[in-house]
Amino acid sequence: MSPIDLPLGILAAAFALTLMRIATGPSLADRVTAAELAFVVLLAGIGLLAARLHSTHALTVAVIAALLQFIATAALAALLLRAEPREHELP
Amino acid sequence: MTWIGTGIATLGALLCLVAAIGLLRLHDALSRLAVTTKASTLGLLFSMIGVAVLFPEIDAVVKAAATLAFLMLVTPISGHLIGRAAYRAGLTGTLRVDELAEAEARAHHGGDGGTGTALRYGSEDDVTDDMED
Repeated sequence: MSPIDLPLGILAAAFALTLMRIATGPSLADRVTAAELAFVVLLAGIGLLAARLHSTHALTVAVIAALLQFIATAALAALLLRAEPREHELP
Repeated sequence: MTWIGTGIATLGALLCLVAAIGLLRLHDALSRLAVTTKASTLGLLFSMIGVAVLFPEIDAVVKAAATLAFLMLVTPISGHLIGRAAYRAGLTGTLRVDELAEAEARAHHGGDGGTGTALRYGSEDDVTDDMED
């Protein structure tokens, strides 16, 4: 039992709450926001896991995931712009 | 050293938890977006500082710093993208002050014609309309 398990447990709780918002989010924008937060929580978890296992390879995964996150979020935002019906059309 | 690093990492994890609770408890998309972007950036900052303290090798510290730098570059941009998409989808919720709508109304009705025009966002017809004016 390492002391690093404490922040990892807190991050697991945060991840669970985020998944609840993804499941219940009324609009697509809420789900995209929640997915972004889930990703950040995952990055922090990977970093702490790397420190707990004393291995650098997990941190490489975190770097690549952080690079890919922007593409994912930009794609989701484009999807959001197309998918949601507009309530007020611009004149 | 382990305890200092664990303390900092726990602080970061708690900030992430605060972001998650805010995401679950706030009432509209733009407020959720606001709490998420700020608290998660700060949470990852503290988590990665904690990782760097717990694992003080040059390799690990550089990778943690790179992750943090990418995320701090990306989070404001993606927050802006999602916020704009949510606004355009009409998910303004309990927004009290809507300066963008005011500026759009000014620009469209040919009010002051100055500052509002640059804020507009629309199809190409709108742009040609502006040209004709």
